[in-house]
Amino acid sequence: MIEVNSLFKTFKVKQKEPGLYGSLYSLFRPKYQEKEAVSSLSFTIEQGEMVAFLGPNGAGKSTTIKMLTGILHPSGGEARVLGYIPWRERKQLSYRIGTVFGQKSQLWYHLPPSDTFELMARIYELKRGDYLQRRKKLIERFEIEPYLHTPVRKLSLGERMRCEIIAALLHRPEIIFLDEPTIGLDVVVKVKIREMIKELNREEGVSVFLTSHDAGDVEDLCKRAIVINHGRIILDQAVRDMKRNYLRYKVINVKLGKMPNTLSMAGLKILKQKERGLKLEIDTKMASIEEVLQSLIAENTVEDITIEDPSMEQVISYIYAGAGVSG
Amino acid sequence: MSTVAKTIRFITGYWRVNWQGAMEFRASFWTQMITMLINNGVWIAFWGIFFNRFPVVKGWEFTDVLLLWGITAGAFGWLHILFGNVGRVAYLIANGQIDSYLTMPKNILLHMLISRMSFSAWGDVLFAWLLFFIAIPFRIDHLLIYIMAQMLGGVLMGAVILAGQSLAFWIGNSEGLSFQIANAMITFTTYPIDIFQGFTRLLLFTLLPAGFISIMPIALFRGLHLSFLVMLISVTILFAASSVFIFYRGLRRYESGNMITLKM
Amino acid sequence: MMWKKGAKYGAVFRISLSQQFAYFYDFLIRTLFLILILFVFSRLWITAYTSGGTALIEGYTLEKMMWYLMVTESIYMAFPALVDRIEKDVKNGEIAYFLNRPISYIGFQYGQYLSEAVFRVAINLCVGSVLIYFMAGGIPIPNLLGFIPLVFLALTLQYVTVMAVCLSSFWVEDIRGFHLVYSRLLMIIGGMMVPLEIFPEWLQHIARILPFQSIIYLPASFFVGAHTEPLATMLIEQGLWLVFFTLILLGIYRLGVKRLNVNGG
Repeated sequence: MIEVNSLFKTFKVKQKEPGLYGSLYSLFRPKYQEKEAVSSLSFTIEQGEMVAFLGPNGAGKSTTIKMLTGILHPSGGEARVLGYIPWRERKQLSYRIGTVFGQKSQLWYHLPPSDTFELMARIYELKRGDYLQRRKKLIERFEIEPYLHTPVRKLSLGERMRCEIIAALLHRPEIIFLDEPTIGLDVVVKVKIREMIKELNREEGVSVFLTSHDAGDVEDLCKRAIVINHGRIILDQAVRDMKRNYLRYKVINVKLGKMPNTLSMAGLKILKQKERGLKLEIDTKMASIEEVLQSLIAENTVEDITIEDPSMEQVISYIYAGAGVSG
Repeated sequence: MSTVAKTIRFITGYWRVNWQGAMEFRASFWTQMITMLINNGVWIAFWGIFFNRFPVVKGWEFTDVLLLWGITAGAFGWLHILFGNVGRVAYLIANGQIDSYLTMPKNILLHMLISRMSFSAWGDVLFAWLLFFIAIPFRIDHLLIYIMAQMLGGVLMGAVILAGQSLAFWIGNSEGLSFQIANAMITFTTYPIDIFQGFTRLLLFTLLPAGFISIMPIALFRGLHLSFLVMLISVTILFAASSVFIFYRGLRRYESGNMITLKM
Repeated sequence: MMWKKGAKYGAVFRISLSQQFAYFYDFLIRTLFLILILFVFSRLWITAYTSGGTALIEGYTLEKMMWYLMVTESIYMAFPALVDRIEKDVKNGEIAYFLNRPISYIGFQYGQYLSEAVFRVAINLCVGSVLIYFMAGGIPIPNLLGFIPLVFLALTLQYVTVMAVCLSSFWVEDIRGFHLVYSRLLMIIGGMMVPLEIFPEWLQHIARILPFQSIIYLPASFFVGAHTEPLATMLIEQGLWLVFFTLILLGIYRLGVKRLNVNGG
């Protein structure tokens, strides 16, 4: 399906010294430095898999996706998507893949989605009957019937995103690349969209290659996660395992009534402390949130409290630090 | 369905959708059209005042300038109606919007160009045809020459504009410069060629081929000079081919990914 | 101690200078356009004069004509893009913050406008002068004591009228149409493209009683010494238009604010 072997990409980056003199200097005598964006990437994805492709900003995610979709030529290594070499056979490949970029819209803003779908039919040269059938099914599935003829600019973000996904699926791609598909959406809508994508995967075997900073997207949609940092794969395992190993941490920000007594508890780590404000990390495998909270409340007055999932960055840093091994 | 037929369906699909977009924003469409008419009209007023004082300048009369403006506006007009993104290619490249086009199976350049229609350009087209009926007596041969002049002029303009826009593949922040190149081209086409001599005149028939358009009233309407016509067609084809070549060269550079400049 | 302070100001200066570098590029592009326009216009008039065989047209020699056009273009192209700013402020409701203090908002915008406009006029005049000197020679020696107030009042009058047009966005969706008509009228009736003396009689009469010529024609004709009225008269004329349009502007602003309040932004 997707086969990547020792793929790498280096960029020649112009070096600019800071300040005014630097700007002038770089104009006349540019100095280039080689930056390795992606180094020796290897992985395989089978038909029907739903894979999350994770990593902090600048880790090489979009570079990799661009190489897989044929937008960017690698510096070396091999890759095949559906049997095609993406950057050489981009046109043929494009008939069989779909892309949804959360930040960049493919829809025509001032027109109803139905018009964008029409265009897609022409772009992908879909047979009329086929197209209409497919369209009908997707519209029903994603429940956008009522907004089919409303200009996109008048739709809510959630409605718009559903239309984007339909537009990307009309030509029956075998893989879809989703980049931040639920960004900016509220929780209810997010869950709905994930559900719809999962159904499609179940029924049609569409593979999903997902990039997202939303842990919920990852947990809900994908069975497997590939984590990349500094251009290298640092983790490639089932999401369930990753969760067990790394997503078990919770971060609590708490503001106490007075300076706390020493807080010590197994599984509790103080990340930051500033007078009465504390940032705590709980290892839920060792201590439940409930236990920690009870302990906190028993010995202190709690003025303010928030409980968060660790950010994707933090998860990555845990992984990178080798924090927590299975078992 | 043959490839040609599919491509035509693809293009007409876009044109139809673009037109629907205009109808969706009807008020804006009409406003922009009318303001363009006024915009162009002011220049005709200027030339009217000018030729009132100087009835003939280097063989040029008011009628000739009317024709010139008609041709230029008409050329600009159809170019921006059918290929409305021609002046925005630099912006699309700089903002990475070209990526969406790259992941779709159609010809990149064509796809980019046809996915937008300028509203104000309809004002230019209307203006061009108003001028045609005002400036010269109606004759079939005049009509045919007028259409041909606009077609060739539009292609030539488009070639220069596209080449300027393609600079974005090599220079960051090129939008200002690219715009001025297009601007220079269009500005020069609206002035009679014969006010320029020497080096400028040479420039206008080589690097910035506006001269081929701004000479049309004399070279096509005061008797059709076939030698000029042949030269015009050759130059148009040459510039169009070069411009497309430049674009694809730039695209190759884009795909190799060396367009990135980072501050260290 | 002094050294440290000096270094600090030096740093501020360098930083703001490098910021200017970014604006500089944009600036350069605009200036190139000015040069282009002036060059083309000059070629037109040179051709007209030499092929027409006349040395004097309505009191304008070729040199005078070109210097005149240099000034009109320099002023016209110095106007900042007020339309964009105001349209944005009205559309996103920013203007609501200034609702009860009209002088404050209008004054604030004026300050920004004026500083930018003055800077650009100065640069345009310098660049334009160099070009026209090379093309036509004969530098006129303008009476700066008179020219500067004329330009200042012209810019202020321009600000007030454009502001009034822009604020019609309280009522109208797209004000660019109005603005375009205004700026085109300014171009032709204001004397930017040709001096008023070149107009046919009937058009001259109309042009002279309209405010547009106060903004473009008056300062430019004074600069080349083609004016027929005394300086004081011209300044008073500008002043009267300024008062008139300021009142209109304030009126529109108050009405607009009322409407905004009624409709809840």
